[in-house]
Formats: sequence, C-alpha cells, structure tokens
Amino acid sequence: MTEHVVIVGGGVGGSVLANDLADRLAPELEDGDVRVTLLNDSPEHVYKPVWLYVPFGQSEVDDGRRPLADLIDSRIEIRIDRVTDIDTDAKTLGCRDSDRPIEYDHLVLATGVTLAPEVVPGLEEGGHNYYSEAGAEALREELLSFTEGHLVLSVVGSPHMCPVAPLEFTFMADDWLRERGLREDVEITYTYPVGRVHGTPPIAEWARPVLDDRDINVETFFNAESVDPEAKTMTSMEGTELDYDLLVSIPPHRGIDVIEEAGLGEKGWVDVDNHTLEAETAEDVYALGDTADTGAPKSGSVAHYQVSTVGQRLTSRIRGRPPTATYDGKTLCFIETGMDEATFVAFDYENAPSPPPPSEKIHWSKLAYNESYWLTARGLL
Amino acid sequence: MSEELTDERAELEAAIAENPEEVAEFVRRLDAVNELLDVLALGEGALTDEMVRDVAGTTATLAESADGIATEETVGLAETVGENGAELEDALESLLTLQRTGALDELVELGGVASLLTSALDDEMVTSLAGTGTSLGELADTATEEDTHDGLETMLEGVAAAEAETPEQVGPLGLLGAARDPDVQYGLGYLLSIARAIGRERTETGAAETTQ
Ligand SMILES: Cc1cc2nc3c(=O)[nH]c(=O)nc-3n(C[C@H](O)[C@H](O)[C@H](O)COP(=O)(O)OP(=O)(O)OC[C@H]3O[C@@H](n4cnc5c(N)ncnc54)[C@H](O)[C@@H]3O)c2cc1C
Repeated sequence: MTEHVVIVGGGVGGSVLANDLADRLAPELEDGDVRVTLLNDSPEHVYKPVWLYVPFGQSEVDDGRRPLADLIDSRIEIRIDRVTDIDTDAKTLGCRDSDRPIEYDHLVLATGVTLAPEVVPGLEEGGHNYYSEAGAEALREELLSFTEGHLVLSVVGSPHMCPVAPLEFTFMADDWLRERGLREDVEITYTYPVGRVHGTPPIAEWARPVLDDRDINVETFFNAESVDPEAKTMTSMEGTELDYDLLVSIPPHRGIDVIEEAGLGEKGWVDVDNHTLEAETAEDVYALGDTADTGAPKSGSVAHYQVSTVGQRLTSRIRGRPPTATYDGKTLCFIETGMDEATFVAFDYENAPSPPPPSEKIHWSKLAYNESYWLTARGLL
Repeated sequence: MSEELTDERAELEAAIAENPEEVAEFVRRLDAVNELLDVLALGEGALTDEMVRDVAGTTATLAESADGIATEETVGLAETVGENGAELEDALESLLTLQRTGALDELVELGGVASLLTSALDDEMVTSLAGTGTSLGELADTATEEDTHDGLETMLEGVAAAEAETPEQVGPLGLLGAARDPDVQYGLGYLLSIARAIGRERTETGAAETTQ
C-alpha cells in the first residue's frame, strides 16, 4: 500500500519540507511506497520578508514570488487548491475546487497566518501595513511622499510574524528620514501592547536605549481599541489617545479557521508538542511554521529549522522506526537598525538572545540571505 | 623608539593597569588572533567552527581591551600579568598595529558575522550546503574539461541564438525543406553524435552497475 503524506501550505515551511522529503524518502518515492503531495492555494510561493523593503522603494513584491513548480522537486505532487475541511478521524481533507476528499496517512499543516485587522474597528480604513503585498504597496505610495507630520508604528496584534519587524521598520524609517534631511519635520512614535518595547525581555532591553537615542517616542501598554480614520486618532484600551498623520500597524493575526473547526487548536494555531511538533489532539498530524503553537516566534527561520525535525520524524514513522528528532526552539532573526546597518538575535527555548553591535556587514548578510533564500526554498541551504 | 610610540606605550600601560583582567585574557587569546590574521590572509573559506567561535570571542575581548586605551590611571601591571611579560609585549604590538590600521574595528565586525554564521547554521544546513558544494564542484570538474566546455559553449550559444529569434511552426514539409539547409545538417549531425555518445555512456555505466 502506498502511504500518502500531505503537506498543506506551500510557504517557507511547506516548501522546504516538500524538498526535504523528496531527498529523505527518495527510495520509497522511487518504489512507489510513498507519495508526497504539497497543497497550496496559489501556484506561486511567496517570501514575505521582502515586504519590509517595499515601502522604502527598495524591493518590489514580485521579488518575493516564484512559481512553486520551479522550486519543488519533481518527485513531489503539487496540487493547487484551498483546504476547507480537515477530518482527523477519517484522515481526509476537503478542498474548495474538488468534490472528492483527499485521503492522507500523514498530514503536515504549514498554513501560516491570516491577517485580521477587522478585530479593531477603523484599523483597516485608517491604518497601513507592510504585512501583505497590497498593504506594502499602498504604504509605499504614502511613505515615499511623506515629508512631515506624525508617523506612528503601532504593534496591534501579538503574536505576529517576525517579532522584530516592527522595530526594524521604525529604525529604518528614522534613518531613511534622517538621510533625506526630513527627520526634524517628522515625529515618530512606536507603540507596544505590553509594558516594554518588545515581548522578549533581552530584546526590549537592547532596543529601548536605541529608540531613546534616536528621539523615537515610545508608548508601552498600548493595546489598540479603535481607530478613527476621519479624525486620524487611535485609542488604546488603557485610555491613551494618539493623533497620527501616517499610521503603520502590525494587524492582529490568526491561523486559518479550518484548524479551529477541526479541533486542532484555538484561533487557528495548532496545539503541538513544542519539541516533536506533533499535534496534541490528533494522530499523524504535524504542524510547523507560523501555524504551530510552540512558543517560538513566527519567523521563517523557525519554520526552516523545524523542517528537519518533522522530516526526520515522518521518515522514521514511515520506516517503522521510533522517531527521535526534536526541535529545540532555535530561532534566528536579523534586525535592520537603519538603512545600512543591522544586528541579529539567535536564541532557543533555553538560551536568551544577545545582539552584537550593529554593523554594515551584518546588514549585507541579511541582504545576501534574502537573495539566497531561493536556495533554502529548494532545499539546498 | 620614536616619541609617538613612547606616548602610545605609556597610554597602553595605563590602559592595561585599568583592565588587567581583559589584557590577561587577550594575551591568552593571542594565538587565536594570530591564527585569525593568517586565516584572513588565506581567505575566510578556511575558517573552522572552532576558529569561528574563538574569533568571535577574541574580537569582543579586543574591543573591550581597546576601549580602555584612552584612560589615564596607572597602577603596576607586572604583578597581574607576571611571567607573561614577553607575550604581553607581542600582544601589545599586535593590538597597536590592529588599532592603528583600523583592522580592529573590521575584526569586531567580522566577529559579528562569524558568530552569526555559527548561530544560523545547523547540522542539516551544513550537510546540505556541503553536498550542494560538492555536486557543483563535480559538475564544474566535468564542465571544465576542454571538450565538454567547448561543447557546452556551442550548445548554449545555439540556445541563446534560438531564443533571440521567434521560432516558426514547422510541419512535415517544412522539416524536409529545413533538412536541406547546411546549418541544420551540421546541427543534426552534432545532435546525433551527442545521442550516440549518451547511449554509449548509459550502456557502459549500466554494464558497470550490473557487474558490481
Ligand atoms: C514584513 C515581514 C518581514 C519578515 N521578515 C522575516 C525575516 O527577516 N526573517 C524571518 O525568518 N522571517 C521573517 N518574516 C516571517 C516569515 O515570513 C514567516 O514566519 C514565514 O513565512 C512562515 O512560514 P510558514 O510556512 O509557516 O507560512 P507561510 O510562508 O505564510 O506559508 C503559508 C502558506 O499556506 C498557504 N495556505 C494557507 N491556508 C491554506 C489553505 N487552507 N489551503 C491551502 N493553502 C493554504 C498560503 O497561501 C501560503 O502559501 C517576515 C514576515 C513579514 C510579514
């Protein structure tokens, strides 16, 4: 009997895993003992980190798109459809464009996040973001011609993708405006929902003095309640009101509804064992990347590092051996601290981050990695 | 010794007095610094994991030691550094040279990138990178053999020229007509000889596999 592995989601985690399995399970694929299907709702793979540079006119959204068919090993079956139902008892998936359910023996969920700006009244109309292709392009139109006024970067949703991207945007905007001699005419405010400037204490301790040095106003304990697009004000649950001229927000995030409906976890985040990445409420279901609720950040590096754990465990199961590989929380995030300097944080479940002094060389490393990401997607790096 | 150097020496001594522990640590790491300088001359490709870690630590220490150079306080340093006197002198010379040439700042930055690399990589990535590198190397090895190289160049130039023209749809009659064109005849002959060679190659490897 042929065992069927189905990966849902062809973003960072799903694509890297598909290519990883093509190598790992090469003999079984060759002999027809295993089939691997990658299911994605669009024929294109999207690499989101590119969006950070779009508002500054330094990248185009198309730089982050490639056809999945070009990236994925030919031994993997690619199917373009949207999963609309998961039945973990019958081990079947329902899809939007197909009447017949897909049967699976092993299921991997790598469906990423969905933005939910509607949770905060007025946010969609009044705020910009760079967390979607359309958002990044619309923000570019505003930012490139923004020469004076109050720029507010508000972290509304938490958890959100790339935990340091809000700080990066703020530092970049500050530097970019300075380079163009406009900083005196633009006030910048950064808001964060908890009592410090970042959820991870060592990152907050590092970032706070940098924000202060650069005359960036900080509002902590700021949980956005509503936005008034007409009056251009934003109000927090704590009762603070902020006037803005240009509001850039990190909108609230959720996983896909299908996951919650299948009883796999709340708000669409799959409840998994932090180390094995196996679902807590169903057999033969794994999750990786942004949709897996592990406590590790929602970042591409996490999705990438988790691939080898899922790849090894799946392969062991298929070969009838006890799986032993585990994920230790390894995370790596670059932090752009301006337009031409960056630092990075590396941490895991046990070890806290400690950013080295920012430098141009680390910034170059980030740019270089963004280019060579396509090797990662192909499973080569 | 020139006056300038004497001044620098005095400043350094003051700095050492202020930071005896860092200096002792620096001396301890001097080997790593020298090794690093050699490696940098060699090219970063030669870095090993162990060295990368050392370098990252060393550059941080260098930066800390250098930080103290401008301070004034002087306390006896002999007892702290003790019998490492000669090594210390070497170390100071190295530090001075590094600082004077601006290499110290570069080293600190490279140290950051080096520790980034060690943090970012994991076993899987090292294995697949090395695997990719090896395959590319093997491919390059074959591709640079003179005949292969010339052949590939001919093929690629042909592909580029074809891409530059808009291809026309050709039916059976057109095919017959084209077969009279000397360029096409040469090309077909070339493709046939490739086909023959591929066939031979496959039979030979097939035979080799079955006799193993
Ligand atoms: C502005 C920005 C900057 C970032 N910068 C960095 C960075 O510098 N470094 C870093 O490591 N990370 C960064 N990230 C985060 C990174 O992009 C994500 O963490 C990463 O993409 C997560 O990978 P994933 O596979 O979990 O999800 P995704 O890459 O989002 O892929 C999910 C896939 O699932 C598909 N899908 C969803 N639902 C369904 C369904 N029902 N049926 C079929 N297909 C479905 C989607 O279409 C998508 O292709 C950044 C993110 C943003 C927004």
